[in-house]
Amino acid sequence: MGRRPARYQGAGQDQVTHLGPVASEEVNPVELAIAALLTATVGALGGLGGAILLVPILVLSGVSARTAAPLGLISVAAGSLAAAPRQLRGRVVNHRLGISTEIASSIAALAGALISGIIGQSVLAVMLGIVALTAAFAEARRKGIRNLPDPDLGPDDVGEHVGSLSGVYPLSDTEFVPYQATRIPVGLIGMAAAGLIAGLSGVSGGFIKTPTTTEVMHVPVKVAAATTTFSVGITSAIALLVFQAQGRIVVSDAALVAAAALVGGTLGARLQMLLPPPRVRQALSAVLVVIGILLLVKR
Amino acid sequence: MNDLRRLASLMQIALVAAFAMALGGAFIPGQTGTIFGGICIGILIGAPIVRVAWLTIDWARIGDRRFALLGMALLMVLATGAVISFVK
Repeated sequence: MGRRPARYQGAGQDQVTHLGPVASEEVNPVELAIAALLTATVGALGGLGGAILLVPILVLSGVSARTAAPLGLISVAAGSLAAAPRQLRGRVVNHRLGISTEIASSIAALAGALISGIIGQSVLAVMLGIVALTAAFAEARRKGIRNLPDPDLGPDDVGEHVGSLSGVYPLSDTEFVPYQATRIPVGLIGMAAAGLIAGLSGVSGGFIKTPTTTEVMHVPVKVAAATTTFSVGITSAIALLVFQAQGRIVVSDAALVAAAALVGGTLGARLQMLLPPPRVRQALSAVLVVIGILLLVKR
Repeated sequence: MNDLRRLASLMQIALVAAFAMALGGAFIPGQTGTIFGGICIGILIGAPIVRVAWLTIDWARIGDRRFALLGMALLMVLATGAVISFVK
């Protein structure tokens, strides 16, 4: 990333505008905004959260991990909020599934954060890279649509069911697909692993959560991506509280990332609703390959 | 479903407010910009917690007690996590 243009320096009064003791690094605002916009779009489309892409990009551009991690979480939180109105109106999020699995993720994330000093960042990057590439392979391997439309269902049936981890989502304007989350215990282990990795690394575990939800729990990819976008917003909110307490959030940079990610998240959620599930899965798979390579290069 | 629509409207308001504050935080110089940016971050942190609390209350209201309890459990985990992180 290059130096701040003179026009932008005024936003920070030549000095850093921040909530705590972190000194701002020179981040080109145009490049930062573009990176946040693109990663939030892809993050909301695939239900990954933008941080897993944004943080490696920033680090490879010369920004320290200490500065990049809070910006990544801002991107995730903004992407989650941006997608929320459209996903709520479309009734594609399964909130019961998201909240049930988020309990396992959050407890594991706390444990991960508490033991984060034990595992080296290089080892962690290799682990994350391998996980991302494995998830990409699992997504790419599957063809077609697992959950088929039921002709008896109509627009009024769309949404999650009361008292269970099931529901109906719209495949198109005239096709409606029932689904039921399966293999819950194994899925919860996957979610706990995602939380543990999130706690250890400081990036959201969305790139593990979405493939776990689709491939282990057999939830359609659109519902899985939307549900993960909701749940990573919860995790990032708590992590941001911690970063704010530690004074690691540079407000001017965070605000810029938030503005771009809010636009990107809105675009990603719109694309997710428009694209057919196999396209979403292909996009998810391609992004996971990029993430895997970035993580292995980053180490 | 009406409650989900109301929640969607609330999230829409939060989204617009966060975006306006983010623009202010990024481009308005000095203390004013810092305040705008701080409010934006506050909205980003608060919105998902409000959403979980809203859903928990909604589920309790319609008698879906099992998931209302899970929602409460999640809120407690989040509160505990925040306290532990601040203390640590």
